[in-house]
Amino acid sequence: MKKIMSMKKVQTLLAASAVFAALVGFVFAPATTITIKGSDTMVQLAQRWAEKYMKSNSGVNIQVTGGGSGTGISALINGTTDICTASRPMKDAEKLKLRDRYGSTGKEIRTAKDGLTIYVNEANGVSELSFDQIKGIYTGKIKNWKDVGGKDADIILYGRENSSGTYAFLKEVVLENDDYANAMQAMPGTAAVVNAVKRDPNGVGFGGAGYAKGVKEISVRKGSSDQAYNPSAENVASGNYPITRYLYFYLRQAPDAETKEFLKWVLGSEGQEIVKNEGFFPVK
Amino acid sequence: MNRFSLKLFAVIIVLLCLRPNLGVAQTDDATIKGKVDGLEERTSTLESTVSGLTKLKITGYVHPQWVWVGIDTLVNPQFTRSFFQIRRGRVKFSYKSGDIGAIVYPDITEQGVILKEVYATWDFAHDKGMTMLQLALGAMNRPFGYEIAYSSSAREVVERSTSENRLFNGERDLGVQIAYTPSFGSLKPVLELGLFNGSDNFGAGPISDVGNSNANTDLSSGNLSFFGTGAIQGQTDITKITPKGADSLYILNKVNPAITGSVASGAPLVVANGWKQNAKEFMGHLRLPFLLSDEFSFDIGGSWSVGGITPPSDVEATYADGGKLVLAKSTSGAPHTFSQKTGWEPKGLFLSNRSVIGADLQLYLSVLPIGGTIIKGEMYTGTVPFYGSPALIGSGDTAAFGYATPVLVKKNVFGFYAMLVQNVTDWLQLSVRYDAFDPNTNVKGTDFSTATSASGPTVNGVSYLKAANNFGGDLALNTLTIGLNFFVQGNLRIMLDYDHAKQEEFTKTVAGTLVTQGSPNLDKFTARMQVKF
Repeated sequence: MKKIMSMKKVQTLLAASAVFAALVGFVFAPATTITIKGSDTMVQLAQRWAEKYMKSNSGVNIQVTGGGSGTGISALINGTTDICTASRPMKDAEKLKLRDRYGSTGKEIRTAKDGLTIYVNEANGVSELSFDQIKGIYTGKIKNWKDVGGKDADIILYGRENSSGTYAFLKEVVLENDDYANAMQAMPGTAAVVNAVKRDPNGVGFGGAGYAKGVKEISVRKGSSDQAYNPSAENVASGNYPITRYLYFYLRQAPDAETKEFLKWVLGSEGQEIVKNEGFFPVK
Repeated sequence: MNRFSLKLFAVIIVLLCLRPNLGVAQTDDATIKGKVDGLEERTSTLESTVSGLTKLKITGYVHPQWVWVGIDTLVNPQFTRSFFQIRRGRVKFSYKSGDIGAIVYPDITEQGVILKEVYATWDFAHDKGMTMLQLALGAMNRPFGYEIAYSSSAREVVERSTSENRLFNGERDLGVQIAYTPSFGSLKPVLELGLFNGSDNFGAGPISDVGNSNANTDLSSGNLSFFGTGAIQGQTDITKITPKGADSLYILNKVNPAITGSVASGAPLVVANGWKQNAKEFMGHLRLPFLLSDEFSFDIGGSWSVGGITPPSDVEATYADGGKLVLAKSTSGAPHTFSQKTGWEPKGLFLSNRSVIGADLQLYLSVLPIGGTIIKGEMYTGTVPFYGSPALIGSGDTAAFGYATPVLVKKNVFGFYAMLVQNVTDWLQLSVRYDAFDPNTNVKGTDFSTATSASGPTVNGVSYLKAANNFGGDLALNTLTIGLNFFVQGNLRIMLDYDHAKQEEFTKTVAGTLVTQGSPNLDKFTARMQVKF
């Protein structure tokens, strides 16, 4: 009998120890930290995702920083971020660098759609531009608004730094890899581009649709005889708006359990609702 | 004064008081506008300057390290030691403006500063906005195989393979290269073709170590060295496990060339410091990358290199199995004809005394939950020329030539490596490489003997004598490397590598009696800190 009692005591002790250990573990267990770095276009969106997700998942800490898609991809290769946000697809050279280091070309996840928007000042009379005209403007061949149907005034170019995915995307898709004009003022983020255009009656800028507040969005046609479309939700979703792109998450390889849960949430209804609220377009 | 007058007076006073202020305000506005305009101009100038600076990139890395080397007592044990070393101190200046580029790439170590790469590029043809044809001129990596272009800052083990170190020492050369990168759907092959001086390290010569070879081998004392005797040379070679003198000709069996003609007197047939491979080297590499999925992809590649040596020797020789050296031909034609002279005689660029081909394969798998797996392999094979001692020619032959004639000897070489790289976490990587190089496939360690030993084999009715007493360089070398890479931060990597190198077993017999037998070992541990910027 004594033996049984002592066995019970041992069991109780073990159970208590287990509970204690679990409590200690719970209290002192470090929160899972997920780092996100990259696209300035996506930085606000990623911050909203992080804030909302952390509210309902107290054990997870998500740190979001910008710097540009190129910077994010470099960080992914260097191992200094878990998730890279990018407003352009990874280049082959970047995939090969990632592969050299990790054996994988990376996991690409489309998180949202965006219409890369051309902004002008609200007082600007120009409402539509073709690919050729945008290319002419940003390569410096077209220097005056009157050459594209506007008033007689010099065009002031605002754009992004070369680490920006938006910069690279416009360069590849519309400028056909020609260089931007030297006169373009490189701004540190899309919000700065929008603010500059808002203040400058002769300014033109580009960036994500989600940032177009207080500026005029230009309707874009691919060929000179094509129909022009504005970057509305419908036109971006349908693909009619010709400068449509995906906004990506990139990972080095298959995600761990915590990151997987976060990704699932981003692609779920809550995450995609935030996409809409931030002025972008859901992928589903 | 009525109330109206008082009001009028007050208004006039106020206006008078304000007037100067308004004037100041206007003056201030003008000043501020002027300042803003000035700032805009300065900003514009600065932007133009900064825009120019963005075309110039400065990158690099440093490799300070500590090395411990343990050498078998069977060979020269005096090289057992540890030392600190700066393996690399690279600063790369890359300028790119539109289609034009330039690279200046100095290497700074404790031994001084040398320029590793200096070349200009021109992207002169494009496909869908991407460069399709690029011309490069200057000193640059030679387009051969996978290892040469794969940066030391990315490599998973501390050094390239023995084959690469021996056959393409220094990796770079002066020449011209065209890179063709077409696109066939998802397949984007890369073809690089180059014509180079054919001399390593800016003219030092691919076989410049010949002069040091004699001191490496001393069979009479039973010792065999991995390395040359120069302190710096020894240290550098130890870190690469590159046996010096290995390509020298001190292993040799005498020949019976069956001379049918004679050599007239004339200019010396070799330069003092070995052969200069300055008849140009034509080489290329074709790479086919197959990016099948995120989880699985592979690249395959093939390479070749053919080059000449000038001045050509009047006497060339090749090895046959068992270490027999066979005089093959005279490059000068009659009257230096030998009975073995057969076949096509290449000329000019195609005087390919040196001919190497290679194949490479890289597999990338991301299926294990711990991290991606990389498997790499590469093979080198070919014929490589070396400077032979005049002593190769027997007294009777010398008489026939009129003077002691050095011999250009061709050796058949073969080497390969196979490497497994496993990422264990994002910050830890394990690498294992097996690396083999045989600088003379026709000679075995057990073929060696002393000059005074019994006669060698008889082939086709010709009796051969055994070699003189020096040898060493023709022994195969096999190296197993195990490495750990700790990626501490984005730009900091700690590398810990252990190399175990083993030379082919050799025997030394004197008058038919075995006096030395064994396989010399070398063990090396390297602790390296790599910082990239």
